[in-house]
Amino acid sequence: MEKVSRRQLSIGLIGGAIAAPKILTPQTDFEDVEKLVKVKFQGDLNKMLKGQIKGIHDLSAERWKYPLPDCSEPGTMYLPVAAESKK
Amino acid sequence: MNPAFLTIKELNTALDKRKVSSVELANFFIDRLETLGRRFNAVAEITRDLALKQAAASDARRASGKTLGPLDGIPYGAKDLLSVAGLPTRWGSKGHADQVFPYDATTIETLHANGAVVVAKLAMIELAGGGNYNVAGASATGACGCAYDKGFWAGGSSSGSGSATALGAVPYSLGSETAGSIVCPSAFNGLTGYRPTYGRISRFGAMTLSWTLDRVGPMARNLEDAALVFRTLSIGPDSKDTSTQRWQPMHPAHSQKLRIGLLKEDFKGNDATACEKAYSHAVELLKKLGHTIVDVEYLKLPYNEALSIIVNAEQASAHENFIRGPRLAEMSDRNQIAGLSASLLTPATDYLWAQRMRNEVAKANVIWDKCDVIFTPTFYHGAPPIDQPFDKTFTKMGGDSGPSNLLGWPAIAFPIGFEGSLPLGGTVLAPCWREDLCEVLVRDFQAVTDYHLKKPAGL
Repeated sequence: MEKVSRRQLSIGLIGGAIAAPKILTPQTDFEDVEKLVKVKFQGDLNKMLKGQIKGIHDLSAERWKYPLPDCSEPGTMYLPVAAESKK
Repeated sequence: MNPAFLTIKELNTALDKRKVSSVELANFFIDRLETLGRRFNAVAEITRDLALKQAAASDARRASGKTLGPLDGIPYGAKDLLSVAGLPTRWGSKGHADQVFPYDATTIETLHANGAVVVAKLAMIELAGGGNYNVAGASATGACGCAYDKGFWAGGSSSGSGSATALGAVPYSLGSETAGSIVCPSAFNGLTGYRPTYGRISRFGAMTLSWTLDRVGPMARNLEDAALVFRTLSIGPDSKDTSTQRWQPMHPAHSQKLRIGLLKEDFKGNDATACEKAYSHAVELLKKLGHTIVDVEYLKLPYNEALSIIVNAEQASAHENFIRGPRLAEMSDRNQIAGLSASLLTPATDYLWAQRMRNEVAKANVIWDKCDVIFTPTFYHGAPPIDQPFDKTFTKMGGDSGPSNLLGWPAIAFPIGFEGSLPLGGTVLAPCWREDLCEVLVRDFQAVTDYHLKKPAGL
């Protein structure tokens, strides 16, 4: 087995637990959405929903290419770093 | 006198010299909205009774020599995302057809305190495009036509603000932007659109799409008008909108020579010959005006990924009741029904990653060590055909994919040329709170060009 760092393992465990079920079994999510909203997804709409769910999964997967330092803080909700600048 | 394309200053002079009354102006623009505006699907609601009441009050003030300033008695239109007390505020959405708020948005309240006359709520993309819209018809009022050619789209999500202002159906308008909704319709309709620094102008009473991205700003036919409205709206911190807590005073737009940063553009890859010509000409003009050109590059960071996750999560939270309710099915664009539904699944860890990534993205502010402003084409092409889905027509459009929305940078979009009969826009970006630097560039450009004076053929 390939040797992995503690950090990789940690990311793998947490990421796997959170992201993997959604990425690997999107059908589960599709059913989840039908339970969440009062809209019947059939035909084209069904296809669009699958596409949009895939988009969310893709973003979820994509973000793992940009790991952040553990415990780094988010930009404050209503006062994001956006408001700061050098000038 | 035909007031359709007069500037705010010219309208003011006409009012002062009693060449026209505010009531006459209100009636004139209401008639124009009823005819031209409706023909282009730019109108959500004409606010006739309120407008005539405000206009009569303005005329009385002027008669007694007590005007409230340069906007007093001048009509305007507001994107239907902004609340006007007691009148429908439908957010462009069939599912919100009966919605009325008992209060004014802070921007509306501010304009009215300055004597402005609201003549219409203007059309918009449903819920400002939440859930990803893919067709121009994603609006309760139908597909909104570009003022220069009704067969092309007005842009979105501030569609009616763009079309009606360029049609001379309102002297100026208010729009809003989460990621492109002011600069897009401004570019497609040849307008000067002002996206303020995040936190500069209160969003109280404006529909939320994304709390940490949304901004409200003016759209006008020239920089002078847009800057006047912008500065009127920049009133300082508003206790009703916490994003304004770090509000900083405006800098005056002193004449100065700027270091203008140019990004690497891909005109050839996007078949953008007309845009390349217009943009190169604009750059040459700016050089002749004494500004310095420098090549710049953004740090490579996941701007779009972070932005998309934030919009997904915040729109799902802001509109959760609607998304889970029966009226979601009334939305015009099925892609939005699917997108809003799917956004409920955005993992909390993704959202927090995106907000944490914003701290990393702030490193992109290092670009301001090299330049004072960035100048880039708003899009590589003019407005797309109104009847084609965007996944077909936006493939070579380009557009801002940098950090400007995530970091809350201000921007002004302004006309720089034409592709056939359709306007092309440029965008100038500046560091947070330095809208004045954007103004300097656009003011200088408009002093030596006449693109902002053009109007749609036949008007």
